[in-house]
Amino acid sequence: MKYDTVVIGAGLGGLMAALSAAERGKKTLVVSRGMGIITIFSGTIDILGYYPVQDTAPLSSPREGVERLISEDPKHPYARVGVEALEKGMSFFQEAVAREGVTYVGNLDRNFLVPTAVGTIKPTAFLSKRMEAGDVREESDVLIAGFRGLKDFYPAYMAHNISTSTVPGVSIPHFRGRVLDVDIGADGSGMSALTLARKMEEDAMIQAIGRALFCQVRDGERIALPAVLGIRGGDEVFRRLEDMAGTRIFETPTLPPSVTGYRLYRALESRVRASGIRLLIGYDVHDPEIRGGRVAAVNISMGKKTKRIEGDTFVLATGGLVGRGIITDRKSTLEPIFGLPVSGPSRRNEWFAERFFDPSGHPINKIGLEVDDRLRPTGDGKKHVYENLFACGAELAGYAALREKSGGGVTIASGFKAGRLAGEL
Amino acid sequence: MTVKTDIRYPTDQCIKCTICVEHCPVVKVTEKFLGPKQVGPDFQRFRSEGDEPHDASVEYCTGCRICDIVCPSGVNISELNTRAKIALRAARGIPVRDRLLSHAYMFGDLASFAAPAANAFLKLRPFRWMSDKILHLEKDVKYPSYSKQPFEKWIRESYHFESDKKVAYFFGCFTNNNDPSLGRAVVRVLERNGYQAVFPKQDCCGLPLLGNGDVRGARKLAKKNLEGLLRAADDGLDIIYSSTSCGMMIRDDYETYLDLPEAAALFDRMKEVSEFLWGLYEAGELDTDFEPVDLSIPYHVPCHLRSLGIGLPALDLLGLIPELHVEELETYCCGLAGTYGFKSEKYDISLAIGRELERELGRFDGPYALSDCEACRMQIENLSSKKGLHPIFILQRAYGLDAAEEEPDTASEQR
Ligand SMILES: Cc1cc2nc3c(=O)[nH]c(=O)nc-3n(C[C@H](O)[C@H](O)[C@H](O)COP(=O)(O)OP(=O)(O)OC[C@H]3O[C@@H](n4cnc5c(N)ncnc54)[C@H](O)[C@@H]3O)c2cc1C
Ligand code: SF4
Ligand code: SF4
Ligand code: SF4
Repeated sequence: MKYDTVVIGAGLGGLMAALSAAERGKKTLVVSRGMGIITIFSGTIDILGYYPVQDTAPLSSPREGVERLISEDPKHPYARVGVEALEKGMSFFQEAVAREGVTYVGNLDRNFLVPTAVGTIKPTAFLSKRMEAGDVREESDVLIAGFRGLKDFYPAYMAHNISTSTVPGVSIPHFRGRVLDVDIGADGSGMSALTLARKMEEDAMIQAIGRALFCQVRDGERIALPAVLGIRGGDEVFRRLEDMAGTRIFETPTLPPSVTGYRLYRALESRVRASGIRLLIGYDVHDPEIRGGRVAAVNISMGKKTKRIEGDTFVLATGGLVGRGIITDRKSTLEPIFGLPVSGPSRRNEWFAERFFDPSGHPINKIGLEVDDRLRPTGDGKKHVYENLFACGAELAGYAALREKSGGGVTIASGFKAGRLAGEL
Repeated sequence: MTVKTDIRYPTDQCIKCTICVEHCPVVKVTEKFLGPKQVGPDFQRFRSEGDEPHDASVEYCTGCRICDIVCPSGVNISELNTRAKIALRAARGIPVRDRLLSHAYMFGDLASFAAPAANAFLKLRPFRWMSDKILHLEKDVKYPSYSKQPFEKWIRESYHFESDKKVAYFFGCFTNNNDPSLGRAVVRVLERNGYQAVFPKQDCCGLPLLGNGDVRGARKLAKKNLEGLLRAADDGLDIIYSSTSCGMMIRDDYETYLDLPEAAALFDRMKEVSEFLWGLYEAGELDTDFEPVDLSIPYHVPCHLRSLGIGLPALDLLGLIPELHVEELETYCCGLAGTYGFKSEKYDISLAIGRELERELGRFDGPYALSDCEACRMQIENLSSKKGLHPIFILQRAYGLDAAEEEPDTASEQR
């Protein structure tokens, strides 16, 4: 089988790359061992939360932070991608998911500050419209409402941790936690957020919760609910509850598996299918065939079954250590498909900083592939290894996604750009 | 049965990401099932070989294998579950109801002698009552109906094509008893491309038995089938199948679960019918003289096709037909899952899983929906007013082969 563009990996990076290649009219395949981090993550898209990384105050403008970072840290992926691709990539992403009923709000000029389910305060630039009312810089107090029997969301715990959090220059309003008097039908083992989100589409459930919220909420309070207000995109459940409660509501992503990540994944998957992209999940990619400095084909396997796939261009979107796009053994770290050398600490004893909570983060987290300005892996040297192989997402070297809060931004921007370059070749 | 000692190994690869839980169709609709991560890699660490599983909730696993596909770490979760189910059944015995369901193939042989009587019997009130009260079979589900002329009879009486180019065809018991028009469509499409089908001696593949934990019974059937299939492979023939579940059972499960290492020799020979035809296309040997088919038609990919690792060959193939628009649905499991949906304690779960398919089907106006699996086609007909078609029927039509005379048999019937 032959495709114009073959994308390896079905995480946020791979799906973005595929959509942008297909937009250029390319016959595109996404092939992946499993699903990516995006299906379970909180669903906020972080652009840059802290810069320099050891700062304790969140950045107010991600754009200014990224511009400074590009001039000061030329090894950072943002320096390869550029602000323009970041901006275009984010609009491309917003349009894609909006077409499937999932609305993302935000821009590069401000960070939201939203509470998490464990009660920390997180800076992020883009989020689902249903999280928007959660910004802690708003003055009104917050009722955190939870459900008896729901796993992974505990209002009192969240409220307590928020009350002990500080953000320089911000006075955080009062949060109080309550468990609603609603029977969600959980049995002894507890209900997952996904199951509740599905039940939420029943009329009786919405009625019962709406009434309970109305009874609990005090004048002037907003309401935080776990992110379970419907499994799919579309705002009906959300709007009805706001109407019944008589105040603004925001969703807080639960611990994985999280409904917000699932919604986002499903929206992108629908877009991928609607764009005529073939999606094959469950296949290990291995043993590429190289001809004249180009990748000519890869082999894909499920169990003992192997197929050969030819392509004009290839995008490597296999994630970092978590997605096993990079593997380590006692002696080395390696990108396993093409055997590309990985930049970062080579010896194990250099992986971690001495202090666990070192504000600069651990060197291991910056491990990855170095690329040129066209996002082609450069291996050890300055020149690209293969003319038609591009890389994106968590696979890239030189940034600490979770520490500096830049994962979603780097992944979307590099995915978008890699797909576009692959689609133009 | 010997348990491969390395099967526990990948449980250490589980990074507890919960991606499998998120995509498991059963978890989505019921809390009775603790989910793939917990009953799979989590519990596996506390099982020693052949031990009774800790939690009988593993019974609720449909065996759809979606968890295996989505897991980013390559953990073989469904295999752990299947082994746990087998251990559970070994410890507690197999209920009469499950034995009855999984022996439908025997019933099928009988029934085809007297198809109208069998169909009437399945619809009869006393049977309904008995099945509900005593056997806990679901009374609202549609049962497959039996055809008057089994495929094997048609082959004997009406199939005369001969050619030097030959393939072996494992058609399976459902095609034989319930949907022989599928078998006829397959051989006609092969004939159009110059291939004669030969038919190794065959019985039910054994999947329903394995699915209900009866390893011994499944193994007996497997051995019968292997005789003819191995001979065909020895003769250098490709072995094609038109039921993805039969194919998976023979190609993969005989070796994995039934302790039949000789089945490995079939692996490279076994080809799903569209996979085979696409292979001809890639070799430049497929007759591509297709008439346009002006249809817009939804396609539900069976989970067992997804887990065969052969891509989506029917989509590739149908892409060659002018004017045809086939849309892959975003559904991962129809919910029927072999005999699962026929059991009353699971019927609601099965229907709830099916809601997604139902909603997706609702987006299309036409009278047809495609799927390569007979159970999926039955579920399509359970859930909608659409007729479920195997993709090969579209090909048959595009070739202009007997379309008027050969309406596909009804896969199922309302009581
Ligand atoms: C737990 C966690 C939570 C995060 N939460 C957030 C957040 O809330 N907001 C935010 O902005 N960022 C977040 N990030 C950071 C960042 O957004 C993610 O890392 C990003 O989604 C990475 O996407 P990716 O596509 O590059 O990689 P992944 O999502 O890891 O996808 C890689 C894909 O490649 C496949 N693959 C790997 N090897 C092979 C192979 N050999 N053959 C075939 N397929 C292969 C994998 O199966 C997987 O599907 C989070 C990161 C982690 C780890
Ligand atoms: S998807 Fe795989 S790695 Fe993740 S929890 Fe399930 S078994 Fe473990
Ligand atoms: S095989 Fe299917 S039903 Fe069973 S655990 Fe896996 S995803 Fe769930
Ligand atoms: S009938 Fe089809 S979709 Fe349903 S479980 Fe079986 S293979 Fe999967």
